[in-house]
Amino acid sequence: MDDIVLSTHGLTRAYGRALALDGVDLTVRRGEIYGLIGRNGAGKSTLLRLVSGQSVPTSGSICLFGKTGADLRRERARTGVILEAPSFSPFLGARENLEYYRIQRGIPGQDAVEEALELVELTDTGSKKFKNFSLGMKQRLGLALALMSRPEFLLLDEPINGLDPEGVAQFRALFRRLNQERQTTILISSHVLSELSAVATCYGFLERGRLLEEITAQALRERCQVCLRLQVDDAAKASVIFHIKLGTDAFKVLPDNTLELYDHLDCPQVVSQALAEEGVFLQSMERRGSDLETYFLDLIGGGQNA
Amino acid sequence: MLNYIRAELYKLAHRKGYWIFLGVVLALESLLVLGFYMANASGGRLCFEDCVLSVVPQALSFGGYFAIVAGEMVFAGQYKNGTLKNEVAFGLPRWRIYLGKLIVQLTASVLMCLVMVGYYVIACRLATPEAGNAPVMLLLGKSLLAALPVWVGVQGMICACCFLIRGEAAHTIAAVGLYWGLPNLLYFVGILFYRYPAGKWMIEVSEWMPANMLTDTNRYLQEGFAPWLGWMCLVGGVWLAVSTALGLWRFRRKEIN
Repeated sequence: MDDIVLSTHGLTRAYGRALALDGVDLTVRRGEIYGLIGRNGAGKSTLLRLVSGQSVPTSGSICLFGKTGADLRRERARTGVILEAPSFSPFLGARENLEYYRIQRGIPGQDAVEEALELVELTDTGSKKFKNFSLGMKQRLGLALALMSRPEFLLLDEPINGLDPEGVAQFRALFRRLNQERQTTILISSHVLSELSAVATCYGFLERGRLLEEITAQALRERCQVCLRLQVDDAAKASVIFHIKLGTDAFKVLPDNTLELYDHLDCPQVVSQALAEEGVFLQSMERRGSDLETYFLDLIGGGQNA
Repeated sequence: MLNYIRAELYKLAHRKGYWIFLGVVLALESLLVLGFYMANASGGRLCFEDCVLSVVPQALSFGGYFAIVAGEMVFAGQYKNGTLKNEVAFGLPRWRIYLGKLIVQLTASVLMCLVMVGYYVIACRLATPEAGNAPVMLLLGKSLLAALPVWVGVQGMICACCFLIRGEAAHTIAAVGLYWGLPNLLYFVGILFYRYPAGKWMIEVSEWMPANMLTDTNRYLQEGFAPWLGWMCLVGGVWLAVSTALGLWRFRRKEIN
């Protein structure tokens, strides 16, 4: 149980008759970088808003660090949150805004402000007010606030929005560093699936308020791995041929005389020739494999964009 | 709670608008006192006591509007700027957010009041001669003491408007409407239906509204200070209790964007 940072059970949020979230059972384990994927309106932000206390569930429960119900609120102090656009007092600068929250949250020592600003590389804003910040600067300040209290769990909604390519790379490296050095568990929702796939260790796919699937990055890699999928009349004999004639063990035998071969991807004719020479009838052969985006689109059942 | 109040005071101290507003009011006070001085220089006979006591009823009523301004300054457009989510997401209890803001609104208002009144009294004392015909400071002190509970009640109403109505303009309009519009509306509707018991009741109720309580210093003259103070405490207390209870109850489960 100590291993689980966040779990939701049948989490539902209705707005009138419309269900923004519908019975979501999600689990984030300690040390994970959990990528939450879904289309616009799939319920990602609603889920994060419920976990962060901005909205109240219609039904279901949230368990944060093992605490639920009335004790849940206190556990939120162990989290850092960026939700939608980072929001600060427009008439204050970066330091003043962070100092305000430092005092409010009772974080000891003014060093916390400087340390947070250094982490996100936002130390040189001078007296510039938040209202004059670029979108990328706002995003950095939002992350600085989320990190200021040294949280054990980060909830980040579209954290790389508005960042330039250099900023995206810096954030990616920072997330990895926080995860590895401070053992910070991170839940990131993002539309930029390529970026998500570069850091996430686990994924959750949301569609129309429902959690379709939770899968580890390792399992996803295996599912998305590029291979030759073959259907033959004798899978046992074909596997011996792969082993002896092609000299490879990189294959999997599946039901219905189907095999997945992860070797010889660039020379399928060698494979078909080896099978034919040993009298194995090749019924079909196709090259398969996908990336995170294709997997997601397949999962939600259409070619609509994520 | 102490951390929350300290943080709000830090933000308020860094808000230029608060100091500009205070500066503008002090400048207007200076102009008024300069007018007294010029009048005396042109042969007028305005004394310190006249200058101070003549503005007390208006000052008490204006205090209600200043409370609205102070409330807006402290709340600082938290819905518009979306900053409430930073507080809720950190796990601060909503009652602490609400009451913390209310306490800071009251503190800011009292500080503003002390500076404005203190400056005006000192300026009048320097610019006009003392006649010694009335205990000015005692009367002024009693007036402020009696007005304070009503101002606090108005502050509670403004705090509730800020928390429950999202739009910045909308909650200002609602606050002014409740403070100034409601008693006038009740009074005029009451006059229209004066023949009926409901009309008389409306006029009676309008007289107990904060804006009218603050301007009606006759109660003091007719009933004495202690009953007047008692009524002011009762009206202010009811407004504070009702608005705060309503505000806390509604804010408890309010969706924050």
